[in-house]
Amino acid sequence: MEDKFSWKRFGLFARAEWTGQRRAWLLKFGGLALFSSLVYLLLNMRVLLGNPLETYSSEPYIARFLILCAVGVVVFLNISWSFKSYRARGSAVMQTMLPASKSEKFLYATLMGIVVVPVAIVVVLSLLDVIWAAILGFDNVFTLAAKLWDEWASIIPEDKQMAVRTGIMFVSGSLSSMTFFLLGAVLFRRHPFLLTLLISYGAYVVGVAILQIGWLVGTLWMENVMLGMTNTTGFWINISLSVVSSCLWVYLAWRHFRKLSVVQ
Amino acid sequence: MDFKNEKPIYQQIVDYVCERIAAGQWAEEERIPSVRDLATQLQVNPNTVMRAYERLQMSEVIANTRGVGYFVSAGAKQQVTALKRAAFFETALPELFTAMQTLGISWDEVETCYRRQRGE
Amino acid sequence: MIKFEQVAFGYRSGRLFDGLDLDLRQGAIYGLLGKNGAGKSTLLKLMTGLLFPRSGEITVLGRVPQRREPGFLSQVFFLPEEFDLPRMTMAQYARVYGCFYPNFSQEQLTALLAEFEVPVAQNLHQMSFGQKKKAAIAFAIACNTPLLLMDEPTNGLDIPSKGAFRRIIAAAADSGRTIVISTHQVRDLDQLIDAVVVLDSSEILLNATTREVAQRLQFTHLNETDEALYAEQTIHGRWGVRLNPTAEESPIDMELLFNAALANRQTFKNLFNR
Repeated sequence: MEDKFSWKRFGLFARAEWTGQRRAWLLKFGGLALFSSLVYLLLNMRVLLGNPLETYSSEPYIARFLILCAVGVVVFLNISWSFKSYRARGSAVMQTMLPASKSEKFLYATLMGIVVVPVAIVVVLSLLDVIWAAILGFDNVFTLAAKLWDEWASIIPEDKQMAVRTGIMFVSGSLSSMTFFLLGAVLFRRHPFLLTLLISYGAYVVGVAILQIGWLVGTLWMENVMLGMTNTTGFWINISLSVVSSCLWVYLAWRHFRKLSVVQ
Repeated sequence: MDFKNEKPIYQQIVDYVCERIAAGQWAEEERIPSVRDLATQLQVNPNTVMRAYERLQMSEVIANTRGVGYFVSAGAKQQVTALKRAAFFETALPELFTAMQTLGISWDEVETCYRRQRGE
Repeated sequence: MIKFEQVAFGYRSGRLFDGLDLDLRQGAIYGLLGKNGAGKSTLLKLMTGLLFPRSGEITVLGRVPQRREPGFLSQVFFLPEEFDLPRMTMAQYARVYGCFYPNFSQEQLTALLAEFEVPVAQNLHQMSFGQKKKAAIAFAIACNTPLLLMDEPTNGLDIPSKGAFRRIIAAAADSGRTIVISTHQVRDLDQLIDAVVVLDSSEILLNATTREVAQRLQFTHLNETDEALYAEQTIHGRWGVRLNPTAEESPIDMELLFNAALANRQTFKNLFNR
C-alpha cells in the first residue's frame, strides 16, 4: 500500500464514511427541512386560513431570513464537528488507525464541511422554497432570480459593480470564516464551536474597537482605510486578505491534524 | 486437561496423545490432527503442541510425513505401553515405596490388597 | 519488530514512562500484563502511533508509527478496549473496511463469525458489548495484518466466548504474525502466549519467553518453610513460585508470575536480563 495521496483510496474512505453516516445525515437534513417548513408555515398561517398574500408582502422574506440565520449556525456547527470522530472515545482509535493517508482524511473532512454540506443545504432549501412557494402562493427563489436577471440591464453600472463585488466578498468572507472554524475544530478538544465563536467575536470586537478609535482620532490613515473599504483597491485587498487567511487557516489546521494525539 | 497439575503442558499433551493411542481412538498408521488443529482444539499455543509432537517423534510414537501430516507409527500402541511401563517404574513405584516407608506399611499389606482386588 | 529506545512519555505534565526500553520480536504471541492504570493501553498506543513520545525512538515494522503512513497502518490492527461500531451490518462493514487491508479474507471472517456465533445480518451498532467485541475480534483477525494488538479483548466475553477466543487465537498463531494481547485477566491467556511482558509502575519488570520462565522458575506446592518468591495459601495447600532447582519445567501460573514479579523487581531483572 502506497503512502502518497491516492484518489482511489480517498474514494474508498469517503464510501466508508458515508455508509456509516447515512442515517445520521438523513436525520439532520430531515430536521432542517422540518424546521424550515415550520418557519414557512407559521409565518404564513393566514394563507391557510384563506387570506392570500399580497404581491409585496414581507413574510416570505422574513421566513427566508430566519432560515438563513439557522443555516448559518448549522453550517458552522457542522464544520466545528469535522474532526469529532478523531477525538471521540468510541471512534478515535479506529478512525486514526484506518489505513488511509492523513491527507486523504483531512481532505475529506475539509471538503465535507466547507463544500459538500453547504451546497447540499442550499439545494435542499431551494427545493423546499419551491414547494412552499407553490403551496402558499409567492414567488420562489428561482422566479425571483429570473426577475432580477430581467431587470439586470436597467441597473446602473456602479450599482451592478457594487452588487457583484459584495457577492464576491460575501463568498470569500464566508470561506475565510468557514476555514477559521475548521481550524477551531482541529485545535479544540471540547466545545470547538463555542470557543471558535468566542475567539471570532473577540477578534471582531477588537477590530471594531481599533476602527472606532481610529475614527475618533481621525488620522489620515483611518480615512484611507474607510475609503479603501469601498473602492476598487479596497475590494482587491479584502478578497486577497480573505483568500490568504483561508489558506493560512487550512494550513494550520492540516499541521495540527497531523499531530492529534488519541488520548481516549 | 488439568493445567493445575505440575507437569509441563507439552508433557501433558504427550500424555494426551498416548492415551488416545493406547485406547485405540487414534489407530496405527492413521493421520492425527495437525499441530495447529490440536492447538486450536486444546486452546494452547501451537508451539507447545509442536514441542509435544517432537517428543513423540523422538519416542517413535508418531511420525511426520512431509507435506502430508503426522501419523501414528506402526507399533505405536506397543511403544506407548512400553513408555508407560518405564514411567511406572521410574515414578509411580518410587512414590509408592516412599509412602510405604513414611506410613509404615508392609509389603504383605500391599500384596493382600492386590490379591483381593484381582480376585474381585 | 517493535523497538522502544529510551522512550519518555506522560499525559499533560505527568511522567508515565522515562527511559523505557523494549524489544518485541516477530512471530510470537505476547501477553502484556499489568494492573489497571499501569500504562498497558498507553504502551500499545505508543506502538501504534496514536500517542507521541516526548523523547526517544519507537520503531515498529521498520517504520516510525507516529507518521501514520498508510503503508504502516495497513500492516497493523489495533483493537482498543472500548469502541463503537458504525450503523451497518457486518457484511457491509467487511465490504467497506476490508479493502483497506491487503490480506483481508472474507471467507476467514465468515468462519470466525460462525465460531463466535455472531449473527451476520444484525446491525453492529445495536449489538451488546460482548457481541460487538466478538465481531471486532473476528474482523481484526480476518485482516491478517503482520501485527495485531488487542487491549483487554476478553473483557465482556462470556465463558464460552472466551473458549472460542482462545481457539481462534491458537489457530491464528503464525511465524509471520505478531500478536500482543494486553490484559489484567491473566487466566484467560494462560496457555496461549509465547512470551510475557509485565508492566508495573512505568517499568518493564519482565520480558521473556514462556520457555525461559519455565526453565528458571518453578510453580509448585510448597511447604510452610520453603523459601518462595511469592506464595499463596489455597485449598490444596501453599502454592507458590520459586527459583527452579531442577531442569524440569512446570506449567506457568500467570497470576503467580505476575505477583512474584511485582514483589521481586530486582531479582526478576537480574534473572531475565538478556
